[in-house]
Amino acid sequence: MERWMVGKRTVIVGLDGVPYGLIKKLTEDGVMPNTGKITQEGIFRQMTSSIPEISSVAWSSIITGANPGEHGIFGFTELSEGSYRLSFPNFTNLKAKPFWKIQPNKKSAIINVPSTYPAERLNGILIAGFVALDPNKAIYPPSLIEELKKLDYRIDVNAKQAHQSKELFLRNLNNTLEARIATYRHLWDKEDWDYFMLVFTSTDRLSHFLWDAYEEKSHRYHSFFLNYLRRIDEVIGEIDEQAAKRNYDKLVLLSDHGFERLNKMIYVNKYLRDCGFLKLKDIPAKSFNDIENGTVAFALDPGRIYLNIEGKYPRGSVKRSETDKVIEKLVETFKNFTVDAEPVINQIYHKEEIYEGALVDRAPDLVLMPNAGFDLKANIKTDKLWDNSAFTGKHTYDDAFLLVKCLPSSESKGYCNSAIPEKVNVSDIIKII
Amino acid sequence: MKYHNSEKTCWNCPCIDFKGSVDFRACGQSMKEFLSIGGEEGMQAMVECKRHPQIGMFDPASITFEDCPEWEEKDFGYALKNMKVMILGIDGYLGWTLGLWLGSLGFNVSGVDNYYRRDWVMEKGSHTVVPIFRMTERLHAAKEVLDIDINFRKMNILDRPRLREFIDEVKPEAIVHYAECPSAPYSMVDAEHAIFVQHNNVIGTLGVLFTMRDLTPEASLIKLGCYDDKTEILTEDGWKLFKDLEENDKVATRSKDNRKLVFKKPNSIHEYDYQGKMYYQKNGRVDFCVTENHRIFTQKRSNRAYKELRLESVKEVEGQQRVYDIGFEWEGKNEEYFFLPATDSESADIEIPMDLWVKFFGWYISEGSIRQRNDRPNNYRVTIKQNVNAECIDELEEVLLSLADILGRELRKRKDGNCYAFTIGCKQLATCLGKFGKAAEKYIPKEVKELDKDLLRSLLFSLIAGDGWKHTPENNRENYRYFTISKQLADDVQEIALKCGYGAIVSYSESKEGYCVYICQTPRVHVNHDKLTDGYIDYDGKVWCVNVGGDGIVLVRRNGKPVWSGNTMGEYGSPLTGRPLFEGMFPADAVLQWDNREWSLGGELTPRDPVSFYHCSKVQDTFNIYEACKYWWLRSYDVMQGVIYGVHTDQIAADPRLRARFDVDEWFGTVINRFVAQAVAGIPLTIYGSGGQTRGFIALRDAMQCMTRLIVSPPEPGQYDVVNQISGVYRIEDLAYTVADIAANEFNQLVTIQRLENPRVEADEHPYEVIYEKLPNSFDFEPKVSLEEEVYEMFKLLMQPEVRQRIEEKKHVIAPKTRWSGLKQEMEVLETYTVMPKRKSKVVSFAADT
Repeated sequence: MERWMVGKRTVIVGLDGVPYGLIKKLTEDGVMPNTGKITQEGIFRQMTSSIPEISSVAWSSIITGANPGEHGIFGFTELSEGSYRLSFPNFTNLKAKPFWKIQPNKKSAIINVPSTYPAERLNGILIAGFVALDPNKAIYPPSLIEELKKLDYRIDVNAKQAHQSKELFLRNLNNTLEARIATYRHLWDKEDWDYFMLVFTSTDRLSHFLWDAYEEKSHRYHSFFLNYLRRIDEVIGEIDEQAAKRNYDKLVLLSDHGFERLNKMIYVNKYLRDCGFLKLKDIPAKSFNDIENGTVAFALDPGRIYLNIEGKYPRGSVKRSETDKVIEKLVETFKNFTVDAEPVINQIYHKEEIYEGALVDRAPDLVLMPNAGFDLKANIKTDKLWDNSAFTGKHTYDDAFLLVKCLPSSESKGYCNSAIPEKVNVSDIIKII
Repeated sequence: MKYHNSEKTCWNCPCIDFKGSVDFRACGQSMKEFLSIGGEEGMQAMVECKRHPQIGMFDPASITFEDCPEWEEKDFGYALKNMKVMILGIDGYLGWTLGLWLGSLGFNVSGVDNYYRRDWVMEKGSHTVVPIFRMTERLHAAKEVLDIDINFRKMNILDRPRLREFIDEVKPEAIVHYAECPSAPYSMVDAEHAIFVQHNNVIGTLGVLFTMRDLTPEASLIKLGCYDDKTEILTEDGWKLFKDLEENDKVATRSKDNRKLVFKKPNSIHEYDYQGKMYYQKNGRVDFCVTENHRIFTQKRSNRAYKELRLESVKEVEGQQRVYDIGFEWEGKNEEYFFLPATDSESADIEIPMDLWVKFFGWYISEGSIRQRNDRPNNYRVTIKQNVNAECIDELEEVLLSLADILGRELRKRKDGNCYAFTIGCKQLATCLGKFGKAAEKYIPKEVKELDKDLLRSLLFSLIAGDGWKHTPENNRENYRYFTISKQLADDVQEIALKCGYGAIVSYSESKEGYCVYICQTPRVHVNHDKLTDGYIDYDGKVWCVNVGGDGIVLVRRNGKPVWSGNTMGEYGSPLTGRPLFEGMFPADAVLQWDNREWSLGGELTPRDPVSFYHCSKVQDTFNIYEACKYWWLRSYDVMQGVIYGVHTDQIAADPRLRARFDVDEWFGTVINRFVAQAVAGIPLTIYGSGGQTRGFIALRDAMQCMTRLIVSPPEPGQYDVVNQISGVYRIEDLAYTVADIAANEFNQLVTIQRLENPRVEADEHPYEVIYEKLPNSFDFEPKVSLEEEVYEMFKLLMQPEVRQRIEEKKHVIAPKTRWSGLKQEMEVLETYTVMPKRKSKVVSFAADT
């Protein structure tokens, strides 16, 4: 593999869902002075995410350097082979090696990286990130479980409470962040790690619920939003300082995707139903198992379109020989998809254009990328075409960020500026690590 | 075939382990502790299968029992392989019987008991009249005789640490809770007894709930019409009035989910005198008149889509827009040839292709005649006339030419006015056709009506071409009319049209002095509010019903208009004022009206009306279980069990050591069991007050069948559901008569009835309408045992010398002594009379036990 930077020991800090634009603005405004300093010293780039632009896919690409056609994670959900059983791929389904497995001699501390559940044995420690529902399976080595309990560690913000009360949600965000900071400090001191990777996922939750608070100065929680990033900036400053002390070569700061304002949630399966491509046994459907004979295509979150191919699915209705024709029809249909006279779809990718590798056959046949303001969802139970969302923020593809700084001690100093191209994608990170 | 639980999913299955839920919209997750009933919209529940952890986490709604390899097909639905069922109170009448029943079906049975029931009965100076063995011997015999292993632990469920330990060890997937003191009089003896019963039942159940919350939240807890005299029913021999129905007639039935028509011999036919209200519905195409407790097979329609067909009560369809699908799938015989019988030894049978024969036969029945010339006795002529301008004249000629050809005769054609008369001279043909009557007596024989749909269509179209006509109204769908002066023929044509998949009604036309069959393309009849005439009439006369098993759906007709209709399982007899006893909760459309205001009662627990301190303990249990389901996602069927009677299941009858207890004393004996014991002992059957009290009943075997069906169809997490488990409703006095009849007719024993003062505080005569639709509708339960049959079984066992001796020893404890008022005084006898054997209802035949 082409390596962009030489260096043995790296600290990686992930800020889930924090856009390039936000870092740029808040560093300029002085809200994030430590990060601002690093942008001066290192390389600061806008980065593109995975397709689709969701955490499980993007982080899997970040840690493996592979595209979904190789690592096999196409979303948070998939249908189990030969069935309509909705299942939730996890780390055991990841078919490419993460960097800590590629270099097993190096000692790694991996904290809260999404889609690393269940925790597998490694040379070091791993605390899985979202989705990780059983704490006993989320932590390696198991001896760490008790230590983390004492630190009140939480894998994630409680999503349900966020819907119940904003106050509770904010308290929860703070508690989760503080516990994670305490955990990072505890583990940092524990050993001299070769790779130390820490991801803050609460930034993504914050933006889903309160992106409006960021955009609108008068918003009740505007200062909460800024203070939250201010607190993260403090930690970044602390890590920067610590990393230099510990003779690390590089500090890599990054996010997996960007964020923007969300106006409408669009339910793609409802549109497929309305256009006659999807037939369900019951309305509302209970699950994907209600897909009926005669279904041409269905969607999985966010905008992954799968043809219901004969032989591939139990009630498959599309012959392999007809797929090109069907895809053409679907593309035409989605091009014409408007809500309140606004076109919904910005870009339609065919799987051959975006994926390569041994697992391409399991990839969605089309991936839809929406226009600004629209968030695509594939909930099969709803009978609505769109909804004013309970959320105010949504992911974006082209506005993740990458910030790399070669630390004073580094042998790689001097390579930095020349090594990282202008157009960078999440799957390029491995070249730096 | 679809079973009642095919569509249940992992959501219902005790093998799943809830992991939590995820909000993929905001990439958020919630741990298991934060699950709530029903889940928030947008939250996706995630589960793992305890039996197949390798498949990882998945959406519990996406695997059905039908698809899951752990659920196997059995005749009572899908059953979880080796499902672990724990029975609390396994030594009792029901617990022991259910243990063996489930064990023989392949369930993995465990149970606890502390033998309290044995002590209580002994305390009251009685004993089980059917001798039972010690638990160790019972368990040994179960293994030896039936190869059933039961994991038994002696304990009191109030001893929570021990119960907890056992539940943790077994990890049951369903728990059946019979560990309660089930006696109303026992709870009314004195303060000690009342307190004991309530403590045992209420505190015991509460402890079980907490233990389940902690150890096995996924396990489910299971506690415990007729037609008027103008209605006809379709039989294999055509339409018949109920009064003419005979024992061996097979009647037209279908099931809820399958349109196929099956002719079935009814299990029983009942005839009653009825004086009261009947519900009728009438319009151009619908006409029925049934008692108010009847169910009718209908469907709803909204937004141009038809909803599923279901059996609805009279109350549900009253004044409502409904669709009646009177059609069905007909699988008749596909005969290739018709054999025209020989007339004498010199001729032989002639083989005619059936398709040709039915076409010809249709023409003949409509337009044909036979003539025998007086001067030449062997000269027979079959003539068919048709208008020269008729559309189908060419087709007719072709059919006749083919037939003449096969018969080896000549077809003569001559013009007669504006008609052509086609004649074939053939004695064999004329003799055969002569049997089907002339003009007003014409009919279509059964063998022809039994042919398959294609042949019947050919027949129908030549009938219509002859005496019918096309009628195309504004909606442009072709309809047909058929006219005849023969009533029988009109009925036959209607039957054939229905079998062809059309809708058809018959009506008499005064002006034309004949019958017209109206045939239309669709068998669906839409009844709109505005075109509907319905209501109640006062009726005084005989009413009938048939019990055909299955969903109980039969094809009936009134004034020539057919409709599929449910039956009533013999629940006739209860007056119908007063609120019905719904299944635990009010139906969605129940409304409370007061002070010109309205509130919906849908889904609320119905008010309970306990009639003893024992019943109060059950009501408290209900609330405790309901709340536990709400707080902790437990799931429960609360079974409101009718009074169980009977002694027989194959398992308990397999060996004397396996017998279940049978109590006949005033405290623990149930009413029918006690009546039989009194009859056997030759003492009067004691009824309280007027004997007009009405209750729901169910035979032991049927109760076991119900429990099995409930166990394999667990509720959803958090679901508390109530099912009324009864198979029939009877007045106590009527039961006494039934027992008396069987004693007299089958065992030569004349029975005396003694009316006593009612020791209880209750109304002797009261309204009682119990709704028991869930078990038959949602669990495909059909009672297999008739009251008479089980009473007969009971007599057989109780007449055995040893049992008879044990009844004799305790006959003094059968009559009631416990007064609800607390007064210690024997009941006064109000009246004593001997019953002369006579049958209240005509029971044609007993259901065959399968």
